[in-house]
Formats: sequence, C-alpha cells, structure tokens
Amino acid sequence: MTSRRLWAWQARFSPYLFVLPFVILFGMFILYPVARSLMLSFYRSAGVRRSEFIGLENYRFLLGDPQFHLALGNTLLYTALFLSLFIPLSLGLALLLNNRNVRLRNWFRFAFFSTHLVGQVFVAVMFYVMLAPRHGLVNRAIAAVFPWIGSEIYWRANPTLAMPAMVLASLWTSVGYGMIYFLAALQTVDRDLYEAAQVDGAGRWSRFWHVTLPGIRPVLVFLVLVGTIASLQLFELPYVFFDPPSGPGMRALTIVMYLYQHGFEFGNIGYASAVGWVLVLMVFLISMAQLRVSGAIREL
Amino acid sequence: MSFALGKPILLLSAVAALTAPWALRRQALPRADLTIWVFADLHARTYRSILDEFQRQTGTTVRLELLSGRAMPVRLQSLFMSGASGSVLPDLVELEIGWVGRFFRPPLDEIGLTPLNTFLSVNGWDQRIVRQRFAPWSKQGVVFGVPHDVHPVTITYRKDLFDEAGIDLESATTWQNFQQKCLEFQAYWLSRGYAHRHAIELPQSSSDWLITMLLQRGINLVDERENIHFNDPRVAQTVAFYAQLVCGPQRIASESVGLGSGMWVNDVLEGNLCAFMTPDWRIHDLKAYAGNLAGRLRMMPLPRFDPTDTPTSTAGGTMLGITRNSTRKDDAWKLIEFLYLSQTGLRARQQTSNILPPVIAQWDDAAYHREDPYFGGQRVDELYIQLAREIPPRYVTPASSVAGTQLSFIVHRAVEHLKRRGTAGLEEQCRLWCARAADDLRRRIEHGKLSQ
Repeated sequence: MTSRRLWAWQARFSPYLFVLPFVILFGMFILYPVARSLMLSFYRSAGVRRSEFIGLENYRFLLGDPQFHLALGNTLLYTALFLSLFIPLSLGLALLLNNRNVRLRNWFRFAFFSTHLVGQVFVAVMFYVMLAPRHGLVNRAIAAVFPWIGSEIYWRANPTLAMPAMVLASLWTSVGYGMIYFLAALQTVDRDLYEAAQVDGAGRWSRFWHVTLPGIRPVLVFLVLVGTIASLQLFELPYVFFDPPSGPGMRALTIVMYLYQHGFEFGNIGYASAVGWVLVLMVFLISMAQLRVSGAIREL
Repeated sequence: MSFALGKPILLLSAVAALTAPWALRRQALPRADLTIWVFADLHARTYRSILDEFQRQTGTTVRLELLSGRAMPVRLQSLFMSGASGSVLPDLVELEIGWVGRFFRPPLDEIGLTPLNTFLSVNGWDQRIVRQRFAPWSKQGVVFGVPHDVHPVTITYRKDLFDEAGIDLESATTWQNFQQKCLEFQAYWLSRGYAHRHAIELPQSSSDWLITMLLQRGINLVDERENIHFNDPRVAQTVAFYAQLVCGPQRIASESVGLGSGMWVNDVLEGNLCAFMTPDWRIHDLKAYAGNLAGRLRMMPLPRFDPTDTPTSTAGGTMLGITRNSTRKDDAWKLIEFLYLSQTGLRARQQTSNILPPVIAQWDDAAYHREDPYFGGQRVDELYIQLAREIPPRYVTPASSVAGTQLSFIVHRAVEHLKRRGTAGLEEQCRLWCARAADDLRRRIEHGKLSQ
C-alpha cells in the first residue's frame, strides 16, 4: 500500500474509528437495553427462561389500573408543586446573591449549593430524622413557635403532609443547584440594558420583567425541563423516607415506585418495562410541550 | 509556573498521580471456597466471630460479605435472572421475610435457590426445627431456606408507668380489654399534664403490626397457594378495630420515630410510648440503647380477639439458603449447619442477640431459663419459648408485598372514615374495601401468571 493510499484510507475511516469506542459502549449499554426493554414490555415473564408474548396486554392492563392512575396523579402533582417552588426560590436566591452589597456572597453561594452535593438517600434519611414526631428538629421548632400545634406532627404518616414533606426535602437539595445556573445566567445579562432601561424610567419590577427575565430565558427553560424530568423520575426519596415506600394512603406512590414494585417486588419485569416506556413517552411529550410553549424549540 | 488547563486540573492530575500507585497496589480480596451474603450487621458480627472455627474444622475457607438490605435483593435478583454463576454469585445468601417473595415467582425449577428438603431430611432437621418456620421459605412444599429464627411476638410495657397509673395491663387477655386499660392509663397521665404519653406504639400509615394481629388470628392475606383471604370477615373486623386503636376517641397508639434503632427506644425511655409489640429481635436495641430502663419493663403475651386466637404471632424473619448455581452445595450445607444449627452457632447467637433459635432442642439451654434483670427478674426467654410453640405459619409469595401495601391503604381509608364519620358503618366499609382489594390483587396475580 502506498503512503498516499494509506493516507486516503486514514482520512476516510479515521472519523469512524474515533467514534467506534463510543458507538460500541453506547450500543452495549444504552441501545441494547433500551431495545430489550421495549421487547420485554410485550412479554409476560417469570424467571430466566419463561416468558410468553402477550402483545399489548401489559399496556392495556397499565392504562386500566387505578393504582397507576394514582401514581400518575401523585407524580404530576409533585412535579407541579416542586417546579412552582423550585424556580422562584432558585431565582430569588440567585438575585439576592448576585447583589454586590451582600457580604460573604461566595460563602453563601457555596453553602446553598452544597446541599446538592449529597445524594437523595442521604436527604431522605436526614429529613426522616428532622421531621420525626416529638424529636425532630422541624417539629420542635414548630412547637416552639406555635405551642398550640405541638411537636406531634406526623409528616410520614399523615397523607396530607406526605407530599409537602417530599417537596420540602427535594427543594432543600435542589434550590442551590438552580441558583448556580441562574447566577451564571444573571452575569451574562448585558449591564448596559439595565442602565438604558433605568434612563427610560423603568422601575425594579419592570427591569426584572423586561431585561432580566428575557436575558436568562434559556437557563429558565433548561431548569424547567431538567426539573420536570427529574420530578417525573422521583424514586429514592420516598422509597427511603416512607414506610411503606408508597407513603400514607399511597400519597407517595410515584410512577417509578410503581415500576419498581411491579418489576422487582412482584417480579413482573415485562410489566415494569411497559411502565418504563409509558414514562419515557410522558417525559418526551411533556418536554416537547414545554419547549414549544417556551418558544425554545425554534432555537434548537 | 503556568499550566494551560488551569490550576484545578493541575491539582486533580497531581492527586490522581499520587493516589494511583496506592490504588494499583491494593490487593484483591482473597478468594474463598464459599461466599456468603448477609444483610444484617448483627448477623455478620455473630458469624465472623465463629468462622475461623469452621475453617479450622473443615478446611473450607469462607468470605462473608455484608450488603445493604435495600441493595441485596435487587443485586441477587439480577444475578438469578441472568443465570449468573461463578465468583460473582454467592454460595449462600441470607434473605429477609419482607423480600423473599420476589424470588419465588419463577417456576420451581428456575428459582435461584437450591431446594433443601433432602439436606434437611438426611439429618432429621425437618423434624427438629419449628415446622411453621419453614412456611415463609417454601413454595409448593419445596423448602429453599433454613430459618434463622422463630420471632414470637409479645408486648413489652413500662411497668413503672402503668403501676403508677394503677393499671394491671397483664390482666388484659383480650384486645378490647387491653384497649380499655390503655385508655384509663392515658386518661390518668393526661390529667397530670402528659399529653404525649401514649399507651402503645402502633403506626397509622403502615400495616406491619396489623399483619401480625391477623396472623395471630390465623389469617395470611395470601396463602401458599396464592389464595386471597381479604374477604375473611375477620380481616375487616380487625382492620376496623386497629383503626380505632390508632385514631379517634378510643385511640391508644402513636407512631414511633422508627428507622434508627436508638430512636424508637428513646420514645420508650421518655415515656411517650409505653408499650410496644416485641418480637425477640427488638430486645437487642432496647438493651443496647436504653440500659437505664432496666427493671422498669415487663413482657406479656398478646391479648386475643377470640378465644381461638393464639396469644402470640410472628414478625420478621431471616433464612439462609444455597444458590442454585453454587458449585459447592455440600460445603455450603455444612456451613448452614454450623452457623444456624450447631452449639457453636448457638453460643455466638447468645453473645450478640436475644433471638430464639428455631431448633427446638436448643431451647433447653440454660441461658434461656434465667431471670432477666433487665425485665425485673422476669424469665422473658421462657415466655418466648412457651409462645414459640404456638406461632402461626406465615406464608410469603410474590403477591404478599402487594397485599401488605393494599392493607396499609385500607387502614388509611379506615382512619379517614373514623375522622369524618366516626365508627358508624366503619366495619361495613372495611369489608367493602377488603373485597375490592381482593379483586384487585386477584387481577394482578392473574395478569402476572404464565399460561403454562
């Protein structure tokens, strides 16, 4: 082979060789499991060798299962509650810590972000202790401020309080993460625009609405999207926090928990795969809807 | 000095360069003839203390791995489903009653554990172990695990506080009577300003102790043949009664903090929860975390609903089994005999816990017939032994955990009913919810069943 031909071969195939390791790993660990789970969702299985094709039966059962409806409702409610607090709180904190007059800004930034460095299981255990009846920090604080309420608040046992407890724990770990993104976005907003708006007589609210918000819109869309996807996949937190993991009155039964229960506790992997695919479809549709509503899809 | 990629990358590279030799020089864990997975720290400590002796006696080396109770069933399930063998698969596994059901879903010949009936019958262990305790670890008569325990259930109570209130709790032989006495107890302490002094620990949100009460009445929500017993009228009756124990004007119970072993004990110590259901495994935490309760506690059998009920039940449980693909099944069986059934195993168990062994002959051991100063001289082990003969069988199938979740949901609905409408129509409603739960569970079982 002449050196010219070798160079030509190299020029032609080297891009493929460079991406080959990725393609192999992607195929092995992403594509194959995804395809296999799709196939499994059309089967009823028990054990290693026994399975039978049942077509769309798993999907039919799923759509008619009241427990799945409950899990869906809980997950959507959690997503709505979480996002409606996560975005304003993260943004509020970022605005506050973007202010040059705040002392020890960097320290506060780190302090608020550091909660995101711990895992969901740790958060669940910590809130388990903090929200414990009689002994928990939160309950003791409530009893100290509002003595008539007392310290016997059953966050884990009261169906009304189960969802707020989950949202509270999730916010504790996520708000700092959102804040960092907003802080980065705020620093990219052109200062001249603020000065121009001020010259034009715009007040604080007007400047925020017409200058800040459009300036940070891409990050806002990103955080809403990421927050939605994470919320729809909620599992570890209620799994560790509640006993039983579906929570009092099944108020903490999320879609992934439902998947886990059927796949790993009941042992019906085929059915769990069907649940997984419905979740994938939901995440896709909701994300697309969000991108369309926010107008971000045009920028993709 | 400047570094093109920045100081953080330089620092990370330096740390990696410094630690890499240490990581590379780390020796792999020594290979052993047998590997055993356990999920309880207490069990791990007990077995570690005697494994050397087993190795000396048999020449078989053993590696014991302690895994998280949440992670172990998932890992094991993955291994079984993939048909794994060799060094990734343990030879022996300890499984907990709460999650063993999932392993019994495949047909008998595909369950990832080895049938032990032959091993058990050769040495007569099947006759020497409490028979009922094979129930959770069996499918269609095939035994897949040797029971670690019996776990009879009693009630432990703060005698000092009940005495001060002038209540003789042990004279309560029925649950109804027990509730009455507890109400009097709470009224006494409330009049002295103790609003948070609850008679007994029972949760509103979980059905664990309710299942214990149902077992006491001989009811398994799902039996070994996957027959559903939600429609047994005694289930609705018991749920309605339980709801009144945890909610409403007749309430005598409250939730404990749970989780951390020391935390529920703290509630007992402070007198917030003055009695609690006590399978033998709970004693360890009590003695470990509340030494200063010594002499202030007493233990009593469970009150009954009907005269035909047993004065005890069973809660929790562990088994030790051999994986189907293990290549050293005979050695593994020897290890089971050594850890669970031998005198050496018994001594080690007595050093670390109060858990009664399932081998009936071992109950004659003098250690189980001593006065226990922690319980004011009461012979609590004798009480456990007396009750252990009467424990009901508990069956576990893949549907058991679903049934438990459904029962928790019914309790929740009963509690809501009590809050809104009081006791009027409560039992009828419970019957209706139980019937619905039975239908739902049947539908799920049918949906998951293979046609052949």
